[in-house]
Amino acid sequence: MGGPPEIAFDLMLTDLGDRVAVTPGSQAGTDLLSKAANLRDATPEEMEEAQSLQMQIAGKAVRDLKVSPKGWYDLLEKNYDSNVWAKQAAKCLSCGSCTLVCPTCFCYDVTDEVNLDLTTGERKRTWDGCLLRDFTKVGTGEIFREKVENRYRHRFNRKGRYLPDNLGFLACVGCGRCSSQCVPDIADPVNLFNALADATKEPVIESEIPIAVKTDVASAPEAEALYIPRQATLKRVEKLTDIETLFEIAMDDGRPLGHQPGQFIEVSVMGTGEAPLSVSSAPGGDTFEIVVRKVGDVTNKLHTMKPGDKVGIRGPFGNDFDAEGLKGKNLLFIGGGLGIVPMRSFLNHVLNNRGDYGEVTILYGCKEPCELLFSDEVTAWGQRDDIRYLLTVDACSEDESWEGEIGVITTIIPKVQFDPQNTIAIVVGPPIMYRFVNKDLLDLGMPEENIIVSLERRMKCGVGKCGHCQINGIYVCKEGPVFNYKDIKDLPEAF
Amino acid sequence: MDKPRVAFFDFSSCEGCQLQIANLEEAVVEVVKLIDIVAFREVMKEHSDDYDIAFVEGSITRPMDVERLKKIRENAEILIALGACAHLGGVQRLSNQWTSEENKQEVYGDYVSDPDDIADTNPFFEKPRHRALDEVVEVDYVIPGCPIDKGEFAKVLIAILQGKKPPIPDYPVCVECKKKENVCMFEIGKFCMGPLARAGCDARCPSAGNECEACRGYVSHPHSNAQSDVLEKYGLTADAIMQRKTMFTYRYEEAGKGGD
Ligand code: SF4
Ligand code: SF4
Ligand code: SF4
Ligand code: SF4
Ligand code: SF4
Ligand code: FES
Repeated sequence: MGGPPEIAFDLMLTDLGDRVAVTPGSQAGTDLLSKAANLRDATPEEMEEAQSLQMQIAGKAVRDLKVSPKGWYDLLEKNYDSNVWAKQAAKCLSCGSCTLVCPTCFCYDVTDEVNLDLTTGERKRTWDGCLLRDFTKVGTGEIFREKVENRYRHRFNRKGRYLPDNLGFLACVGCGRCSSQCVPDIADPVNLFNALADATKEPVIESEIPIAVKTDVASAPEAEALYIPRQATLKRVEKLTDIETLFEIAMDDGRPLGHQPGQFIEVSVMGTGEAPLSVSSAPGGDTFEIVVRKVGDVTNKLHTMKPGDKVGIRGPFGNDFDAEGLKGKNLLFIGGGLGIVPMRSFLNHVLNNRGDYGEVTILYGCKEPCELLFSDEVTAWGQRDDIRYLLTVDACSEDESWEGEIGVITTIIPKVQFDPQNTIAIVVGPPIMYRFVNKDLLDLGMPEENIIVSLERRMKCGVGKCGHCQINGIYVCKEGPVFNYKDIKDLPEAF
Repeated sequence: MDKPRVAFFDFSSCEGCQLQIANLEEAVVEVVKLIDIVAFREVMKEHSDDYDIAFVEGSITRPMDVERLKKIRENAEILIALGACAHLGGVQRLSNQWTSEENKQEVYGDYVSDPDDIADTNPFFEKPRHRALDEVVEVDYVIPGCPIDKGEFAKVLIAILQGKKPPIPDYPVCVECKKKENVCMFEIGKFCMGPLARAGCDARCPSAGNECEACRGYVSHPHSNAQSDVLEKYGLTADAIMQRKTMFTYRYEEAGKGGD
């Protein structure tokens, strides 16, 4: 073996023991070098020493990749269900070291820290990593990648598939930092890709690694709009149940929120933190509504706040139910538990513009009668003859009065008449609900593309940066939370 | 909550954790603006049983301790375990491996003039067994560590005053260790419990070149077997591994053995 590594670089540093030789490899490198202080030209001896060290590098790479980086994408795709993941992950400590030292890992978390005066403080961004157990934990306690092997698999897929898909480059530079820091020695991409190669029977297809195009870099004012909350005022606080409260909010700068039905916002309570919440009101108007369940610090704090109190708002973020595109269609709304909250923004829009849509059917279920939200609006549904609706509760105790059905939400689907071929179902509920409801709809002959869902994940940044919300390679905060079932049904982490 | 009344208590402990608080220095001025301290044996003579928040240090050892802790629980709206002794039972919990008779023999040997002095009939010597607070009463929050970190004490206090859950991390010490760019103990031939230990101390020990002994207890889902494999791979015997896993964390091993 011989010759320096044949790669493109801007600057190459060669360790000469007590000195470092810097070799520029591009104009950008030369420009950067010209700005550096404390440099002098290398002596001929030093140049020779550096060159000779560079010549030896390739020879030092004692292990070869059995599949070149061009084949990683296919290798990972083929081996998603391989037992290699579980075997390796059995040794994993979930210590996060591999992600924390990686130059291409950029996931982060944000926390508010308050000083002892209780009035000043800082909002801090810190590293986070997908190997840590709480990485995908949402307010209600659900963890979407609870198994170590799933977290372990996610990291390699992110390097070899998800980030190439999203950003256009392979997210491993081969630095070896992860392998040097992983004490059980399972983080090394060379070992892992070779293990996958050994486990692969069919030939691996190589494809060009896309050229890095920085498509996603926000300009300074755009970035400010993404990250800096706008101040807003609570206008009305209405307790809906023991643990859920509705807040009507107005932006202080007078600019309306401008959301579409199904989008979400990041609500800040300064000093406490930020939480992603769905907008629950129909678009338009000077104010908007959110419904908040007490589950964590921010939501608990919100529950103590009064009209006139200030919050911060970022967003609206994510995509929406496509109120325009669905005009003229028959709509079947299926909402479970808190799912009614994001669904309501679209439902109320449809009810306000009733003539624009076909048949409207609403199925709404919750655990018990006391959990029913928006009971006034539900009563108003009863006065209309242009919609049909059914309510159900999983169970009803003796001392509660209830006139709807009893049974889980799937038990009321057969009780309404609709033409599965010509109806769009809008399904929003807890993670478990989708599996059952979607299956029943498909069994009734509804085409996959007629099912629209809205998914919950940990939307920390809301803008496709922090990494928390990913379902495989999909960023829920940008490509969701509203999805067409057909587009994501094959994503193993979706349902 | 405006200006809550706060009391400090200790059971079997070295009082090192309370000392950390007494040592808050200039921050003390800020702290006393936020709370009224009504009982703190280490720094003041007055004592009151009318308090909202109780910080309790030390392990619960004898029946008389159980009674006293239950009283504190009754009085306090919020009870916080202060330090490894209160959180896990402390290093002294290692003595639970032997019977109280064996322990008394080991400690006092033949140096007691009257064996009755240290018999179970003396309430101060009655059936000593070390337990964590939450094995006796309900505990609202824990400030882990041996000793606690005074910065973390302030953070927890601020969180409680704000009505927030105290920000005690549930990821391993390695996370903070990596953020500080330390050289890993395993790289220099030492051993470390950081992969199991609950972060929040800013990787205090590895940052000073010392092995982590998991004084803050483990994360909620420790990968204990994987850690044993690592310790073995790096050359520890089964016995030595067990010693590492019991120094502050005998509680978990005891639970594994069917202890409480
Ligand atoms: S070898 Fe690849 S995955 Fe590992 S730290 Fe370097 S860039 Fe990251
Ligand atoms: S792969 Fe290694 S470094 Fe990464 S979390 Fe697991 S044990 Fe830690
Ligand atoms: S935890 Fe450590 S410092 Fe605190 S009282 Fe117990 S032995 Fe002392
Ligand atoms: S020194 Fe200890 S805490 Fe730090 S990375 Fe290594 S094992 Fe983890
Ligand atoms: S590094 Fe380990 S032993 Fe040291 S303070 Fe932190 S948890 Fe305790
Ligand atoms: S919420 Fe941060 S990337 Fe989606």
